[in-house]
Amino acid sequence: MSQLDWSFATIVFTYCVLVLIFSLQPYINAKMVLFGVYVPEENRSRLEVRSLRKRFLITGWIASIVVAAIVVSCRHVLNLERNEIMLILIAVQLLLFPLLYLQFRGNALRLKREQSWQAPVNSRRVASLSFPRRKSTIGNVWFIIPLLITGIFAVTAAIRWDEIPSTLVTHYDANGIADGFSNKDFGSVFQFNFIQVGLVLLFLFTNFSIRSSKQSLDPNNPEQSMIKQLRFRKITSISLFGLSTFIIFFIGIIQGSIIYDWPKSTIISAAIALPSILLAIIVAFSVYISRQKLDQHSDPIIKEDRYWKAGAFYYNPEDPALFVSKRTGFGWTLNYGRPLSWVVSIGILVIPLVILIFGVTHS
Amino acid sequence: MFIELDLQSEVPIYTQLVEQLLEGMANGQLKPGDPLPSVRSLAADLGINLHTVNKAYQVLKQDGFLQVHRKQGVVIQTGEMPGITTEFQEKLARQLKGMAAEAAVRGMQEIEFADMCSAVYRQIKEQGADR
Repeated sequence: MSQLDWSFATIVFTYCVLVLIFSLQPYINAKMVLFGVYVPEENRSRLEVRSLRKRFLITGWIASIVVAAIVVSCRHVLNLERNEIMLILIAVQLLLFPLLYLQFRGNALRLKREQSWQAPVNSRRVASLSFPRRKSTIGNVWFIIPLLITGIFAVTAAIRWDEIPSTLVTHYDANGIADGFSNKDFGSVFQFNFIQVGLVLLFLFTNFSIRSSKQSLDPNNPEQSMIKQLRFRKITSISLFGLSTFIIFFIGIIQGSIIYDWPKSTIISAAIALPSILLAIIVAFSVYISRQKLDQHSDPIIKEDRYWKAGAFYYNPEDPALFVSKRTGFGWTLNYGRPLSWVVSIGILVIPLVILIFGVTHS
Repeated sequence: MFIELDLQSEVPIYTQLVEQLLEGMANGQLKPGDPLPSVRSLAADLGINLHTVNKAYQVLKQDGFLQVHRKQGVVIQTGEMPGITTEFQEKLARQLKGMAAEAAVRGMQEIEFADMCSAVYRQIKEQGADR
């Protein structure tokens, strides 16, 4: 295959993966929730409920194909490059599926009204006095490893400063010819290390939030649900650590290939190896938790429609917990009824932006 | 040990919490020096107000069942437990009085009432042995 075909195949593949991930959400998530609406046990296998999921999937696919066809056929008119097509397609996906979700959520709410769905009243609350929070995730010290990797790349760049060419190639076109350049200075050389540090901090914060998140035990089966939850926390924490280490290493490779003029084959093989490793970690993680049934579907708050804004954002000022289980039954989210959650969310959005702006203005 | 609350019970939530912590101490699931979760963390895990947990801890601390350390946080009393004070005897008599009166009106014999008391007492002490 020629180089051109390769980059086209990459776009098609990435797009298909995205469409699959988004359109399969109603099937992956907890069966008791349909587009952010709680479905009582006896209604879950009804035709209306099942066909709503199927219609979402099919509508999503058709819309994605139509959108892709429009963008691709307009590429000559708008004079789009391949990576621009990719970005536009991703942006369209990020807009299309939330809109579709809201549309289908409306249908689910109508079903709720018509069939008067109601969550069973559960006034019982259970918590363990000896929930081993500290042991529920890997220790923060583990994150010294990605920090060390960052340090090695940064220090090496500082020591070999004189060998770094005064003009850096930052971009290649689809035919492998250099077409993006920047001058050698502090920002253009070390921006990668700032991104690495920022990412390590983000992963550290995630590890911390897993540890301090609410217990959310099943009142009918506290002991079993506690064991399950502890195992779920541990495996999530370990997988995150694996992801973070590989991502940090990959950013180091990008830095190295730009500032030391490494052969292009290095970065190409890394660009193939990294997504494969990440995908392998994610697949292994998903298979493990579904085999072991390590979900949090028994968490009582999942059933309470009124606390979930737009069906997905937890808002409950009366709940003192900051980190709670996600409504999908996998992972954790913030309680937006607490002001601190807004600070945290804005921080997570702003810090990468600051790093990005810093990188751009200094290069 | 698990704390189990019923938010719709007529017994106030902080009383349920106090009683369950005392039960844990009585049956040995909570031993002297055992740490308890912080007010914030227990309130979050149970999904109840911070003040409710704080009130329960304060009641138990004032009576001398709990200690609050600056470093370790809240722990079960490591020294002497409060013991049988006249204040407690008065409280016990006061609370038994209502039940005794109702039992008498319902036609329960003194011995049956006393048996019930010992059965409940034994049950609480034995719960720990099962675990």
